[in-house]
Amino acid sequence: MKRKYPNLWVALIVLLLVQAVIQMRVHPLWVRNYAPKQVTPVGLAPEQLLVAIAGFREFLATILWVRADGFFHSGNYDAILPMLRLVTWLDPHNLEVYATGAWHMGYNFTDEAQRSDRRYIPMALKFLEEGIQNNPTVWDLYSEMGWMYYHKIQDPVNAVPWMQIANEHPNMIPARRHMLAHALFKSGRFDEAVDHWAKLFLDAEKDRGKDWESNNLYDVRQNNLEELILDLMRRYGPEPETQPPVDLGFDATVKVVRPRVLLVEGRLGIPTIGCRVTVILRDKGRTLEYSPKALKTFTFEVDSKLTYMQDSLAVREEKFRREIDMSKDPKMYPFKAEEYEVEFIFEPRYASPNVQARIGSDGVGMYDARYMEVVREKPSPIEVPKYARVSDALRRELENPTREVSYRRVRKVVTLTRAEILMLGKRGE
Amino acid sequence: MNATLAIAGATFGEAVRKRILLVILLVALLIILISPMLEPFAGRGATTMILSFGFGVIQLAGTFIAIIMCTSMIPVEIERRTIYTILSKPVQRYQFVLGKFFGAVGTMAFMYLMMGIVFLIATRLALGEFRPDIIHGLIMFFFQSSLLAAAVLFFSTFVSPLVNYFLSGGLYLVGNLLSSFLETLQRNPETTPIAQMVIQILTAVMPNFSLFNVQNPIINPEQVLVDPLAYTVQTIAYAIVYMALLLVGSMLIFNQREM
Repeated sequence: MKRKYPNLWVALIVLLLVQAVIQMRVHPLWVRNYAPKQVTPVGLAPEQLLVAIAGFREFLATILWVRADGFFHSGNYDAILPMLRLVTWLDPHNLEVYATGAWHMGYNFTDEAQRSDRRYIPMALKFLEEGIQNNPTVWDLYSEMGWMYYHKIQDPVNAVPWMQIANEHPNMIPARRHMLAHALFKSGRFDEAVDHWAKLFLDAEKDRGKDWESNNLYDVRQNNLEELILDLMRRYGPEPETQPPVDLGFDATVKVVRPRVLLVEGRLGIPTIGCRVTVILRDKGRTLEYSPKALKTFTFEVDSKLTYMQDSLAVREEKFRREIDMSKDPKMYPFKAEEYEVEFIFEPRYASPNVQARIGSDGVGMYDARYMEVVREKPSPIEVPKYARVSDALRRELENPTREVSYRRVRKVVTLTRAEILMLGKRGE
Repeated sequence: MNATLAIAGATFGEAVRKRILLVILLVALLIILISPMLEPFAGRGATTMILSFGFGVIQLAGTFIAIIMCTSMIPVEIERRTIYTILSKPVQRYQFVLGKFFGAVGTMAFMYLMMGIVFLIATRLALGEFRPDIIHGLIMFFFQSSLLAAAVLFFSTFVSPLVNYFLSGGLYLVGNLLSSFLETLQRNPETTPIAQMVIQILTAVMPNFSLFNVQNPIINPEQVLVDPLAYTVQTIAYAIVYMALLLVGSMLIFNQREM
């Protein structure tokens, strides 16, 4: 007769339960520290999938990333996007891929005239957001997100929160900390910009004399702090140089000269060079939401029906004029909507220093009888990742922003129909 | 205890003389040694490539060694009838199973030690710095392979070696993906509660090999980990408990087996 071994059966059940309990305890830490984040092997060839499962995930990621770099240098930009997806799936902690990939999406898809396809920007922001979720304790991608807002979108108000998070990380590269001060200044938070430069200057003073790099950092920070205070005194102190306000006499017109080709021209009465007027053409009632939340889930597909063109026009002798040709890029400018808005904007926050010296960086020294408006802005709330290294005070401020800033700008909107742009019924399409 | 140790010693001696295991070890050592030569193909990602390739080779070699060594351990003894000689001595069946397992673990430790030393030397030469965190990855891989060895030994008590190859290979693949599937399903708001429950039960019951894949933060060292020590201790405890579970299962089946 066979023996039953009741003790062994009891031990078996106990061990089964104990291992399940330990595993449930370990799983959240595994997810936080080591998980590959996503398991969908979409796009991997069977042999690549096998290589990945066999323990060569990061190796395969590096190979694919080198391949993507090859595509970049041969100008095959579309091929890079799926590679980015695969590489970040295989190695979600590869910061360079997230940073370079977002830059690629934000900057490199352009039309014949080198105008960015801005429909890719929400995608770039979503990609960076995913990178941040996967790497919440590292400063790099917060800084990249801030840079995308600061430089590409030219939205310093929303750049500040991301740069503030990056800035709280102790190991951030010192020179990159300067960006927060620049963003604070551009968004009109002058007091905080001065405070930040002062803090950076005091930090640099501690290391002064250590080596060439420390001395250089000290000099740069001292110079920036002094320049900022002087600029503020000149623009907003007693007897400010920004007064009396300049009458811009702003106006702009748009004319369809050929199918999909617009001639835009106008006047901006600032008697110095260095001004640029932004012109945007888009489907009527549609704006691009520059936020990671604009996309529910990450996708490489842009809205192929949306037409969105943005250009920057240089002002010379108080006039601007440009022929904008959208006929060579039908994928980027599909013109599917019935009506379009052409928006002309001049705002001083990104104007050159000599222009800002006259009108201020918030437009306090400019005036326009017809098109002037005051914009009030608060940063969009940010859901700070659970493991991000930020102070409680900053976390509260980021989740419920209170600081509102305002600036002046001039803006004119002209409406065109699809028939007008395509010259339907005339000699056009 | 003496009987268990004697069987473990004999198993170790036999295993390290097995040509196929030595060939796997030698090939792995050679590949690890030449891995720094991959540097020109990696551009700026040379560190990532060298480390990930080395870890990949070691993990793969460890997996092959565990499966090939343990698949035939008990069936060969039965086939050659040497088991009757052993069991006719004052040796219990559970001592035989334990001895075989400890012999396999000892062999694995020896193999990992060899591969680890070569990997550390290769990375020191290629990267110009000694990376002690590599040892942490190797220890976790050792426990992963030991757990796999216990699973293979468990299967070898009731299936033929050929079936065991596929069974343990499949278990290793599924065990490496289970956590990721669970995580993906949990993050997907469209997952039904039933699907979540099924995958949760599966994850709780099956050996989870992915817990030992800790190489990513070693390859990307700028990551800040939460409680890495607690994680390591708990994961090793998990491995030990699961190995004990599989050994008890092996003993139960082996004790019932007619010979």
